[in-house]
Amino acid sequence: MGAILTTDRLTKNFGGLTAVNDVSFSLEQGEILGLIGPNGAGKTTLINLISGAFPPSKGTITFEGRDITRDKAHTVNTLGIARTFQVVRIFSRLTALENVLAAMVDRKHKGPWSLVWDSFFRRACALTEDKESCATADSLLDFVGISKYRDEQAGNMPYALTKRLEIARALATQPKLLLLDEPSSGLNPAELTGQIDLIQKINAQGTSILIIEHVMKVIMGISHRLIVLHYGEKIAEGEPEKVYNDPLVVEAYLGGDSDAQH
Amino acid sequence: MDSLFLQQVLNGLITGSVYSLIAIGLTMIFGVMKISNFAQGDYSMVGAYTAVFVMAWVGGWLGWIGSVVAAAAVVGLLGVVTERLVFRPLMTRWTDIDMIMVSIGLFILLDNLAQLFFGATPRMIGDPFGGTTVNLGVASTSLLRLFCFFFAGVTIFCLELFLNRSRMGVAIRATSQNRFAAQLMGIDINQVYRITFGVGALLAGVGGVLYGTLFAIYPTMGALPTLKAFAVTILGGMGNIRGAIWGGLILGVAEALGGNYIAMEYKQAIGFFIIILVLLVKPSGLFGRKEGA
Ligand SMILES: Nc1ncnc2c1ncn2[C@@H]1O[C@H](COP(=O)(O)OP(=O)(O)OP(=O)(O)O)[C@@H](O)[C@H]1O
Ligand SMILES: [Mg+2]
Repeated sequence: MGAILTTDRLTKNFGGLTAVNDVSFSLEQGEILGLIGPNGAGKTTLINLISGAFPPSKGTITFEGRDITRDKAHTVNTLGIARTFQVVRIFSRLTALENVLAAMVDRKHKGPWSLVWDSFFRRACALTEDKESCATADSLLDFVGISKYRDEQAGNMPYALTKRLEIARALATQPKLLLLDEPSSGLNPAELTGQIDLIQKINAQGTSILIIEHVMKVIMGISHRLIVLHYGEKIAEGEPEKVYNDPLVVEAYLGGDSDAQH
Repeated sequence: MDSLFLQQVLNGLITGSVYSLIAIGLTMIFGVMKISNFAQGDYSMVGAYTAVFVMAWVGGWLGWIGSVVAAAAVVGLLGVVTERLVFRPLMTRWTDIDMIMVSIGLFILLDNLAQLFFGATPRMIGDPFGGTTVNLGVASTSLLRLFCFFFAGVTIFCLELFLNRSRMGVAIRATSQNRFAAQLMGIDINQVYRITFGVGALLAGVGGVLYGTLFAIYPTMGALPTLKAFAVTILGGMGNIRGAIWGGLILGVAEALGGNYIAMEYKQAIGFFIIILVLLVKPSGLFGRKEGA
């Protein structure tokens, strides 16, 4: 199979603070890799680095054999990495459908002028009338189970469903690797089960997944492997059961101010 | 209602529609790029001078309509160029205040270039309809002014279509709502910036032709539409396009009525009065949304 993503000695400093420190790991093709660690361990920062939100201070990121360390966020996305956010970042004044369509903007077209040209002149004006894009977007809303909210402003949707909308939006960019930052936070137990099913469904379609999660039930249930960050450093890696019982990990969680044990 | 009142309302709506047009460009650029562009009125000035040249060359109503198209092209391009050369290189490193200073610098530069090339003598765009007036029953106005209103409306309608129906339009709206997420969803925000600035300038350019049709054209004429556009933008809520449309019409009517019933001298002050009032009472604007919503 081989690795789809590899980081080598990745480091990120914010002023004097080292949020991610010398982290090397690989994510195998088709794998669900769980990323855990106490609050402030650097998990979100690691996802930010991989997705190109900001560049690392040191180290490299390789995706499908290509060095993406310095690539811009939209380029990284176009290459096949999509993500969701710990704090939802939907386009709240667009409808659910438009949220998904927004993520498809650059799929089929190149260059700004062709975007204007296509939408206005050649196709006689309209993304919302572009049957093919709409059908794809609709099927994604259906896939994550929020078709009912298609034409609703995203800002008016229930919180749990906006997390699903983010997943649909990420999938619209046709990722090979999906980065999920706490997809279950703030969900009730019933919603949690649905979320696990959804993530497994996405993985079953061949998408590799890196998932950050505080809810142990979720992360233990779906991860093929786990890596653990503590103060920016990778302190453990391997099978979920083994990592969970690793004394270093137990120590990190008990010593830290984490809520992960609850 | 007396006919003088309705007459002033009509005059105000016509001028106001031009304010709306210029302000929409300003509010779009602010909404997407968080730049307060003090050179916005100077894009209008360039649009107005474009019209002066096209009118001298072609003339007549064809020349006037051609001016609108030419100004859209020339000023749209100028917007794209200034975005690339002046604003974008500084976007990531400089603060909002720095960007304001840069736009003021651009405003001074354009003013002086206009003085240099066009001279200080005021110009007029003649009435291509030979002063034909139209009687609307309760009020009357010139055919030319009606055309100004009509063209402002058509331009705003096209913009709404563009923003709501086109791929780029959705990308622009998404970026204005969440720049960070938009980038990570594969939207190239540099493209979005380029188009937004181009369209924002284009609107000011078209607005400039209409403004220059209603008022005199001179190198420093841009300051007034800039300030009016800021009044409108603050009134309608920064970054809010619908707000800018209504805000422009409200300012236009308020000026016309104020000029008539209070004193002509105070007419230009009404915009500033509105800025102060809105900032005191409802800083998010009459049509403002909660921050981040
Ligand atoms: N943009 C930033 N600027 C400065 N410091 C930052 C930035 N982003 C994160 N940090 C700091 O880096 C450290 C790691 O933060 P990060 O958000 O990656 O942790 P996390 O593991 O995701 O935590 P949580 O479980 O609370 O989400 C924290 O101390 C945080 O304050
Ligand atoms: Mg986090």
